[in-house]
Amino acid sequence: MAGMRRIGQRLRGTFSWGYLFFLYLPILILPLFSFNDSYYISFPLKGFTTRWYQELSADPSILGALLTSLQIACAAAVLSTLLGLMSARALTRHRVRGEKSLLGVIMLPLVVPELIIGVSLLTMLNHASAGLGKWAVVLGHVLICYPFSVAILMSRMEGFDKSLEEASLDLGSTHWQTFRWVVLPLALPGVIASVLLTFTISFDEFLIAFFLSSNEPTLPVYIWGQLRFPKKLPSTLALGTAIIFVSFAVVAFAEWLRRRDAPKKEASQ
Amino acid sequence: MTTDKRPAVELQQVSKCFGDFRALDNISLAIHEAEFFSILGPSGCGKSTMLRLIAGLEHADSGKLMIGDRDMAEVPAYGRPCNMVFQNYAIFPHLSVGDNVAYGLRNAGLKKRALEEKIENMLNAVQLAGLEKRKPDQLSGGQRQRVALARALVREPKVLLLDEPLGALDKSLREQMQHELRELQQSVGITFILVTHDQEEALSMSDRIAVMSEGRILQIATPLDIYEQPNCSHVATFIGDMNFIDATTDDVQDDGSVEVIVPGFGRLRFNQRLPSERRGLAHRVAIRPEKLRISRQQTEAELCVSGLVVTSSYWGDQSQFQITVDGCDTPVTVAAHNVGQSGETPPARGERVWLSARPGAFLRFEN
Ligand SMILES: Nc1ncnc2c1ncn2[C@@H]1O[C@H](COP(=O)(O)OP(=O)(O)OP(=O)(O)O)[C@@H](O)[C@H]1O
Ligand SMILES: [Mg+2]
Repeated sequence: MAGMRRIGQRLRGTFSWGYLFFLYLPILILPLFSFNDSYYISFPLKGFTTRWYQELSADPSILGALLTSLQIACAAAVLSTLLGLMSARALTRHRVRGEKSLLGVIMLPLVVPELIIGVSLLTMLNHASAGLGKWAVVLGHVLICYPFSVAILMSRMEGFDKSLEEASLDLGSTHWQTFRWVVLPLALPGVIASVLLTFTISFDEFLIAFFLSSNEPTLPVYIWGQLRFPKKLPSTLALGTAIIFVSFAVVAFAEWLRRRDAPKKEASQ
Repeated sequence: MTTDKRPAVELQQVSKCFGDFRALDNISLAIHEAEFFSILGPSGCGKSTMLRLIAGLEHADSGKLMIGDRDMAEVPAYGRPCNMVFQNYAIFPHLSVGDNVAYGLRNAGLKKRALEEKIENMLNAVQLAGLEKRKPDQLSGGQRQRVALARALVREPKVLLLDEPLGALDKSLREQMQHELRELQQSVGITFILVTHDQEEALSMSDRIAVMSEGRILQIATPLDIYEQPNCSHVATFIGDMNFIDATTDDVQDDGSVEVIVPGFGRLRFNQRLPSERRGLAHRVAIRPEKLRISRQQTEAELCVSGLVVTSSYWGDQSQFQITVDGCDTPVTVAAHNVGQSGETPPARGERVWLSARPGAFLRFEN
């Protein structure tokens, strides 16, 4: 009996380590080769260098793409969270007619392939001669981020006690003040989660950006274009490494923020 | 309570429906300034709805609501001179006790110093001094209740609305808070409207009580009148215990008095007529258990009948008996305070006893 259990534990351990290994190995490759003094990604490693990082910081087009991506991700995150906030509030607070089907329509982009969304937006924008570029990508990204925002914020706001808002009105605050002083603070963890998630979704989205970005490529689109030139590859790795570290830092910060607020937030549920 | 004061709150033929359901049905009432007014009724009779209507959290389908001499039709909840203590307190969980109390003053434009002073005074008044930094989840039930009270009172409303504020507290704390609430009302001198389904609470605290049932007001009167002179059998059964006995009108005299045959109790004379009074009218007479006196010997009382004890139960301060009076089908309940000497045993099951009562203690209700 005990032997069986020990074997089970060993198996489980092996599986976990294998899982982690395969999941993170490719990601570890990135920083490794970004400091490798060679154009080619192959072992054995050559010398240590920071050349690729210098090259990267001297390359205006890749930095331009990074900037475009950041702008788009910020805009998409803020817009979809705002829209999500309004929708979640309407759906959880007021009796909306045809709530079920409305929710279905909101969640639809989750199951529609991005390829379809990209192509249809492309045709539509072309027909409307609205022009492509950053704002077209933002539009597409808001479309796919919005369902996530709604889902996150609805689950946060579902449990809200209606009488808190009534108490606020009763205590002399207008509807807007009630939203600012009661609803928003209580929804804040959800808002932060929604902004972080939608930012990430937008930041590494490829297909829609590929179709709609025109001559303002986002970072994924730009990198994809660079893969044809082997000499550019190492600086792409350097960029990837930088992004990984920044996102680790952001996630760690968000988690720290959440932990620090945890006892407070628990009370609000 | 004197009635010459002008109403602080007045409802005129107010109705409110939720879909097909009539939650409030043509309610009219006037609540005086500085009055402690209670609304009493069974669950779901529309008490909270009425309070929320006054607060502006619900809107009437028809009728008129006045607070002071202002029509409230166009006034939103945040503009009304009344504040509410919610059934579940509704304390803001993300704010400290002090900030909760200060919440209602955010729009008042007070200087920091004046604001702090006000809050401190308020917290002192409800015995929460020193807790202003606490979060609501670090408070006991009674403390939360006080925060809710302080938060509403600090705005100095004309009318304080309380929706079963003591419902969630245990018995001893509830009794203490009842006492404090009454004292508070008398010291601040504002109108309190209290919703409760606890009849003792309503009787002991209020200047006047409105008894509601199914969206209507059955009776508005002082606690004494509600208890002694209920205007219908619903009120009589809802407040306290009541024995009902089927009776028949025997004779209607020219001077307005009537003679009624009550099986087991004989012929009783009443000075007041029922609305549809006539000879042979089947109706009910009623008497409260404590208005019947039980004894082992026949007494000199004008009305004294004999019966058998069916059950006898000892409750400490009082004893209750079920007694079948000879000639009466329904057993009556009798309550007796145990004021006798120790060692004196109350009448037991199967014993023959005498019941006496003042004829005036009987009430009459139409069927
Ligand atoms: N928003 C609403 N929509 C539909 N029906 C409602 C609504 N609010 C209240 N009701 C109904 O109106 C009736 C009166 O409700 P109300 O809350 O006033 O009762 P109450 O007397 O306060 O009862 P309780 O003592 O249980 O608090 C109930 O039958 C309730 O179901
Ligand atoms: Mg209620």
